[in-house]
Amino acid sequence: MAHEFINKCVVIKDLHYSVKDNTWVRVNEDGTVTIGMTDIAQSLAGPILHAKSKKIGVVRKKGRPIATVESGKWVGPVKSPITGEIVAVNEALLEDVKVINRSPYQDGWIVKMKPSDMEVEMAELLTGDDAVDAYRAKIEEDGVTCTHIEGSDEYE
Amino acid sequence: MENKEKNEAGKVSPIRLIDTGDVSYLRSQTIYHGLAYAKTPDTPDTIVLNRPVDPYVCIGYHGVLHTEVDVAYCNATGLPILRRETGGGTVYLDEDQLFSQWIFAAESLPFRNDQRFILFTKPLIATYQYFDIDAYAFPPNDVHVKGKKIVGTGAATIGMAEVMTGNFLFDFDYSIMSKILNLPDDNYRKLTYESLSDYMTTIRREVDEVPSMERLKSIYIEACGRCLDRPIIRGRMTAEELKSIQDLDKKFLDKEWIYDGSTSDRKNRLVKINANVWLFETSNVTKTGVIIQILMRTKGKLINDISISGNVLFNPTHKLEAFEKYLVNIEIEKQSLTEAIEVFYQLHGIETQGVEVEDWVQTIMRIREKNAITVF
Repeated sequence: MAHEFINKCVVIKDLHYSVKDNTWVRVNEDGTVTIGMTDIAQSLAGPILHAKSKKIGVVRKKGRPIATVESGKWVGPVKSPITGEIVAVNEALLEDVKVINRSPYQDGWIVKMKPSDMEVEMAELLTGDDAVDAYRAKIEEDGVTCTHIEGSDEYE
Repeated sequence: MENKEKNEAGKVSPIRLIDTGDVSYLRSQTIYHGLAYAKTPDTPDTIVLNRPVDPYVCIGYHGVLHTEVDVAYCNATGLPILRRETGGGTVYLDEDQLFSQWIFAAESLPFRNDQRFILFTKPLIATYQYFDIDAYAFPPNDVHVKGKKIVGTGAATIGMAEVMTGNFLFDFDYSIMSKILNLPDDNYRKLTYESLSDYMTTIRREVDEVPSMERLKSIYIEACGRCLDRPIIRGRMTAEELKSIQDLDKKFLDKEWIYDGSTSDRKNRLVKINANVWLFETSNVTKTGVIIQILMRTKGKLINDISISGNVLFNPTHKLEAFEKYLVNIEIEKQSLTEAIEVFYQLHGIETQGVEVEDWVQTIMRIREKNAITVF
């Protein structure tokens, strides 16, 4: 996967990002999309203790929570980068929630959604070099350095 | 990080203080949640101070009620249970605690959670120190006095608000706290009580003359002003905010909300005493079908106390107690445990049919693997 490191934060170039909410979207062949937290999001959260997704069938508008995560006494939402219906949740998180920390872009995905207006909303997300540039600016502005727990995905 | 939230004219905007005094157990939770949900970009950063007049049990947002709480005990003794939207574990709250609840804009707080907790605990620590209590920050989010916890904290992103919560412990009922938790047996409950008593402290325990709550409040408000470098002005809630709070009453009393929860590994029970001291219970079945059960207290990275049960045939039997004592202060790390247990086996000629040294190590390490990313 083409990717870049910015202050040790991994940005995968072929994903689509809501930079503000630190979430990513991958378009699947069946017309659904997979959504997860970015490497930056998992780093800022720290070791995640709990994650709870909204149920399958729930329709969420862009910007509304599709899940909550808890780390170090903080609870916060994972905001949906698009509008749509949740069609799958990552059951693996029930067994080992720290997979979000170890593999934020692969095994640690949060939900799959059937988008209601993919064409318009995907155009509002950033991908490729645009996403890298936006994250570089954000990471520098916020002074973020990503941290990875033992067993994290390697991209070297 | 710039904490000084400025208005359009470039002036540092004041923080609104809402001191409600005594409130019901329900309002002590719904007030800050309601203010958070009602927050708009125009709402001032707000500090709420309140004290619940009724005792109650409060479970964290992702907590599993029946796993964490002895619901039957709470029902029998009339202790209400609430679920909050901030993180952390189950707590017992009552009129001997003063709550501080910050409802701030994200821009008014540091970017990282760990730094937010540092800022949030500063005025708590300064207040304790004013009263000659030698409090200090114990990262990531505790405040300690001589190795004992004296503040409980929590945080959440709720709506447009960043919420931070903490409390001043004037006194604490260690006995009730150990009773409200769902624990496997009386031994575990006794150890929990002793651990709470040994590793949690209160204002009453630390000073001869306990300050009044009003006096402490005034010192704390001054400390908040200094630490945040912003004026703090007493204010009132708007009609919209009051409605938001009242609307939440129904949700917070709804059984479905209180009983809801994510799954939890019941084989690995974990009770936090303070950020450095934890109680674990775990069990493991070896390849030969022998059950090893362990109840353990950890302090830092070391075993601090351990009790072994299950159906292990430990020979000679009388050496089991010596084995438990021997394991105290051993680091919970694979190589350290393996070497230590091998030495004990050789020194005392220990035989444990169907249980190898690696089984002990695996069982103890299981605790670390399952729970401990926050602990170790």
